[in-house]
Amino acid sequence: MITSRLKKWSRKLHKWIGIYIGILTVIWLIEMVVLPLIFNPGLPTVDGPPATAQGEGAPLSLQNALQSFMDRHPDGISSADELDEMAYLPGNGVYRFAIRESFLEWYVEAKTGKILKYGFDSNRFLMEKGMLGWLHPVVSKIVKTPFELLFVFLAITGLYIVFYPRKKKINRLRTGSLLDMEPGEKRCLKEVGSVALMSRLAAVGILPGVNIQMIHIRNRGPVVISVRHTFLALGRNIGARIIMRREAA
Amino acid sequence: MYLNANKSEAACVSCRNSGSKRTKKDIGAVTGKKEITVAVAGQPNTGKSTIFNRLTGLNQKVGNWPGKTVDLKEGRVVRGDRVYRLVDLPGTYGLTANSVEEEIARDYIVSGEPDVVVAVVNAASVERSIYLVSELVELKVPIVVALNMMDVARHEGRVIDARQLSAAINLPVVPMTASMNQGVDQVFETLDAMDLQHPQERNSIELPTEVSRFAELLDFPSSLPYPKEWAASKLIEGDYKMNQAVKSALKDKNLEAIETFLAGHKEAANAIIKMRQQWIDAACEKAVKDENDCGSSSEKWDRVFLHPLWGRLIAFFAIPLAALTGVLLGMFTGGQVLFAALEGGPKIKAAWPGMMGSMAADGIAPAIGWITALVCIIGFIYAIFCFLEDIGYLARISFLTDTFLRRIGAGGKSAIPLMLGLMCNTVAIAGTRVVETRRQRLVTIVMLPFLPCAGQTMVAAFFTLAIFPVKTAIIILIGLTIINFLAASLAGKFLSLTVPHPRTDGMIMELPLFHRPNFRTIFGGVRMRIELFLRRAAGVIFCGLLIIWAVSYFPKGEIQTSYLYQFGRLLEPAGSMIGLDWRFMVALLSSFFAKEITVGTLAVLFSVSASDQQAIMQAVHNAISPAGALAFVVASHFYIPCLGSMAVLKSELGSWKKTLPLLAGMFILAFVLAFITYHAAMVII
Repeated sequence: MITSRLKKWSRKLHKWIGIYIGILTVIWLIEMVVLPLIFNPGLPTVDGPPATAQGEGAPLSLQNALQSFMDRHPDGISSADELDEMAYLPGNGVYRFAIRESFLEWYVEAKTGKILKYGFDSNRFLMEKGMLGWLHPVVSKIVKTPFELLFVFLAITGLYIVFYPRKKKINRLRTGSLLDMEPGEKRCLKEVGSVALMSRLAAVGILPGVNIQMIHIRNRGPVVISVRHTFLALGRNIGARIIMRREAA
Repeated sequence: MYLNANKSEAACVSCRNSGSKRTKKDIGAVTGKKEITVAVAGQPNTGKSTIFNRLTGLNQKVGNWPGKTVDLKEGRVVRGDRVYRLVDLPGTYGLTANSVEEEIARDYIVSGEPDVVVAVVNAASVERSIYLVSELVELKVPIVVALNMMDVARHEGRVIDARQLSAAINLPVVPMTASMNQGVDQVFETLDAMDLQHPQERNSIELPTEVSRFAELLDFPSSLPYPKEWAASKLIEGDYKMNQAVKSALKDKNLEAIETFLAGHKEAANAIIKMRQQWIDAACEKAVKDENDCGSSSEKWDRVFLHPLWGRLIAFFAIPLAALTGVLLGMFTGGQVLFAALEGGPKIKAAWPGMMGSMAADGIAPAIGWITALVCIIGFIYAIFCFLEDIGYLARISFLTDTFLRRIGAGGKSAIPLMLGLMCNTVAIAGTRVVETRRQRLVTIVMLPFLPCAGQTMVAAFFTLAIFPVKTAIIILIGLTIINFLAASLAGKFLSLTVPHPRTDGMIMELPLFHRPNFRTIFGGVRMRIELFLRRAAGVIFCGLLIIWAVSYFPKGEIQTSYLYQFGRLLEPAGSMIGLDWRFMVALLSSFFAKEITVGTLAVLFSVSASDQQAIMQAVHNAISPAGALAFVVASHFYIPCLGSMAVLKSELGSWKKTLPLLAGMFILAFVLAFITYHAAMVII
């Protein structure tokens, strides 16, 4: 009793987790396509490691590097005041200039001031603005945290299912109604539960003694049957009241 | 029983009278020829409408069945000394009424008004669609069986022998393919040859003895328009409507006897249906031969179209695409007339100063433009949806959406009007006629005005973009639309809780096999829709636009001193509660005539050119606070529907008594929501 209720709840829980993760994944995929189109002002992307300068030499001072950088009229920036991150990367021999707000970066060779690599940092952009971050960082946080926790949860229950697979149900509850039929199966109608329904069904061709072929049946939702050369969709509550024989006439 | 010579004469006189009541130019009355009423009945999907269109040609009139919002189509054909008055009955599976449409068809056939019934049977599924005939033979009215869709039957490898069928059921059978105009004349020839003075001989069904015993028991009042024995058999079959009708007409003592009899003879219903089945089996035994088992291609398609995921995805894209295509096609045709009318306004005024010029430029020209645009949009949308229906796809969409829509009280067939509601409420409300039961239709109609139409969305987009940055504007728009959907669902749910539940509410829906479209039927449907729109709503829209012109022109010929302005000033106190000055109140008022003219009205009120979007935006930006703009957008989204929608709403709901509470509710809701929005926004911003 308790296990069956537990199973029911577990199934419901997994369903909603699935819906949650599914919706967020769809949103994330759409964002990956749409957001860069909106935010990126048409520059190349700078993903991967920072650029490295070739050869040896004394680096320019920050002041001079900036000057020479601006003299080259780089795309996406009009004045040096817009930059809010300036750093020297000694290992690579480059200066890194960036505008945090618009996710733009420039790697400038330290000794010449030449721009080696520049553009839009799409990785950082998607990390910050993805998952509804474009709405508000807090929204993104609220949405993302359960996402990560639920992922862990799914990993654990997934492992559980791998180690303890569900035994197949052997005796399914069979009431002999239309809903017990498998897709493609053909059987003969025995009787209909209520008088009013009987005359209603008779008018659409579902009379006792008529062969019915199941076309479409799923775990939920209406079923589709083929009777006397016509497809009919029946609600499940109606299907449950149609009693079938074991075989076709 | 009631078609002996006298009665038939009497029925004819009565029908001639009722006919001449409808039109004075009645052919039968003028020429003195004998008028014969022919009812065209048949199950849905038997091509009944196609046959009706072929029989009458373009000589048809569309109206409503008295007191019901169900289309009544009739046409007259003169042949020899007879005038045939053909009446197209709503599709009905049998004579047990399960919906308003079936009740109408049933009551009309039983009433004795038709002199002949042309029963349409689908040759591709004779065994099923002949069921209606098996019920009709119990009545005494003469029957002609039109065996339609012979081509489809042949295509599916079924051989139907009309002569054998005719011999088996002892009724005239006319094989035909109405879509290709085959067999139409033969129907008339059969009708011409019929002797209506004497009862037609036919193989009736021998009903079980319980029926006659029960009929004797019935102390049947003559006020009920049903033959006694037939009513008895329907009561045994558990016909709900019949039960209600009899119960309200009978005395208590008799009622008890009926109840006990019905409770004691539940098997009798089984017997009646078994008799009918035997009749059908006997009819089809020799006449119908299956040459091969039709492994139809529909099944393969349905694996995709009915799939819970793929089917829904396809529907999700197909329906908006179809609606959008319809609107775009309409805009490119009728819409051009509207734009020309709006642009030509100043020219008319310049060439023709004074009141008449102003009336032509601001009243008549836009009104004609609007009506032309709406006619084109409605026409194209209907053409596309009739096409989808004709090839059999719309039934699949209803199937997929049924479960969900039933939860809020609507049905699968409401899906299409609801989608159309996002484009144009007027078109959508007129389109609710496809929804099956009265209750589901009511729910759908009430939900529709809550959905924002394209015009409302446009106004909201304009306002939010004028005041807020792009990102915020988009969020506001999407949020508003979601709230609108919620409000619509709540309204539907609320209504479905208050309106009594019918007894049998499960879905039984035919999914027609996919087949090639018949453009004649599609064209006929579109023509009928446009005709109905022109007759019922166009006049109201025209007058409404003239009235708004009048109140914005008189008394001095300029809007700044007009009655509209005075009225707006009057509303200023109310406006100030939601942060709007009089100009915005007037704009909101004018949106009542058409949502799209809101921005145009503002342009006039701010005295900037209507075609200069930037100038209007700037003017609006300076005149309203962000909180006020938000309140305006909310008010505009929930405000009462436009005049056109209202006209259609009234004609579909049937009375102002039902329409006015809905409109009042929406009005109050709009104001309250705008009030809340304004004050909440004042606190937050």
